Amino acid sequence: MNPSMIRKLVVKDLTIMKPWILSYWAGGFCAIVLAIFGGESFGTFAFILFITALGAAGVHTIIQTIVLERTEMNLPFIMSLPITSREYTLSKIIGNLAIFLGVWLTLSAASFIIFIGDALPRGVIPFFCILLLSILFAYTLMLTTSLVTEGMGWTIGATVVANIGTQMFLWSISELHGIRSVIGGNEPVWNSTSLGVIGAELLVIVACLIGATFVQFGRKDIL
Amino acid sequence: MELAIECQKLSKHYPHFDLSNIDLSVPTGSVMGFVGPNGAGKSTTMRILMGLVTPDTGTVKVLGCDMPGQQVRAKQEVGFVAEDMRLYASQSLGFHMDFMKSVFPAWDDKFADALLKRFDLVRDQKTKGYSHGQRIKAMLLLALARKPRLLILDEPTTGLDPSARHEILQQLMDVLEDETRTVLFSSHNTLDIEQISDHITFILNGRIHSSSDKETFLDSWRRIRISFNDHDRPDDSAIVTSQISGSLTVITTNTFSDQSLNAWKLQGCVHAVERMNLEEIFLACVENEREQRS
Repeated sequence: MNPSMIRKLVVKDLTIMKPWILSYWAGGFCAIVLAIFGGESFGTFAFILFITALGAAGVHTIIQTIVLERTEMNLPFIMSLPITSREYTLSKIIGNLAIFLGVWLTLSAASFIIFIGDALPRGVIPFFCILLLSILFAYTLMLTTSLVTEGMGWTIGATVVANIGTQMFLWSISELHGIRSVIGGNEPVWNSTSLGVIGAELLVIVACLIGATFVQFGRKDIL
Repeated sequence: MELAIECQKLSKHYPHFDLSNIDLSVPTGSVMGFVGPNGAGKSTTMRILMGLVTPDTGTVKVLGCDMPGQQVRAKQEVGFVAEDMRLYASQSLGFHMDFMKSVFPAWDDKFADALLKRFDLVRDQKTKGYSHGQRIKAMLLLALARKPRLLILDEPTTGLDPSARHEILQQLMDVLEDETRTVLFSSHNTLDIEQISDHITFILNGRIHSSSDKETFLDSWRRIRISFNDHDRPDDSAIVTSQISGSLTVITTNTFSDQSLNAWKLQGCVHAVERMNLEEIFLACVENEREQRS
């Protein structure tokens, strides 16, 4: 492995995506500010804006750095550099995760400010964490699909499945007794249901990433 | 003789195409013209040489490195430009130059700036505004300024206007003043190949048809206008193509020599013996290959 080349490829992707990532960051922070100061009337809009900023940051990064790199024929240029296909795969996973986690972690952390005031009951916090992790899982599904299939069609398909799947998943989770019975409380309750769901989400995310890396490492041809 | 590229018995199977038993040797310091029609296997061979495609069978050595196993070491000293390769459209040429400089320690700033001027390229212009010719020049700049020992150029002059083509070929010839530098140059434009190559390899339908130094190659081909004596047809293996027009037969042969000419004279009346240029040889090969397939 050549860590120096992997780092250079990651920095290259970060540089290309920087203006876009800053705009998604700005959108996410606007949503948080709106949720805090906008009152109930802007609450739903703030939530939609927040989810949109996170989703767009993920989809755009994947399309730009993986799918378009192939369809726009930047890949032969990159692969003419002293790297192997395995190092290229690792640079894409690390670069994409770095970009998305940068947005996801900061916006997620900042969003907890909402719970300082009385806008939402703190009992929502476990469910909110499940929601944030489900966005991360949806992103991981799109990332690994685009890496393995290398196609626009499959990536769009994964985006649709992730979008619908996340909503159905969150609706199902909200119906669980361990979640529904504590969601309106004044304090967060970390029971076995919420911790189990969070653990399962983390496990599936890691499994997806390992699986995609394994498949890509087994490939003989990159072009 | 030191070899920059050495392939033995390379094969690669695709659902609709097979690259079969490719043997290719490119001596260090030479310019190998890699000629073949569209879909003959030029790009696949070059991708194998770059370690981007793994052959099903056979061995590849590039600058002494086994490919694809030692591709990182080999690619440090190989410049690769392909006609279908693209730079990042949202970024400037300067971004790409800085990136390449960070990757290749041998990057030569002065030479890069000289090439910028020579190719009339603007460092700060985003590459999405580039014409096809500018794009090829930009990629050539990025490949040359890293001072590679081996240049692999896949159809770099395809689709260029005559002046851009001339500029690029001229630059390549300048580069080749360094006798240790090797170039593998693929094209279906035989004029370009004839102009700059000192070795020629023909690839047809996934197989190497012929490979030798240019002079030997061109010397072995002739177009002969001959009226054969009745019932005295020559050995077919010496004929690549033949056209009969009345009593006159126009044949092309790739085994021409003084002895073979004497043999032709014994078999009929030889009216003319003409040298062939690379384009005529190329067309004869393609015609022969199609006849054999049909």
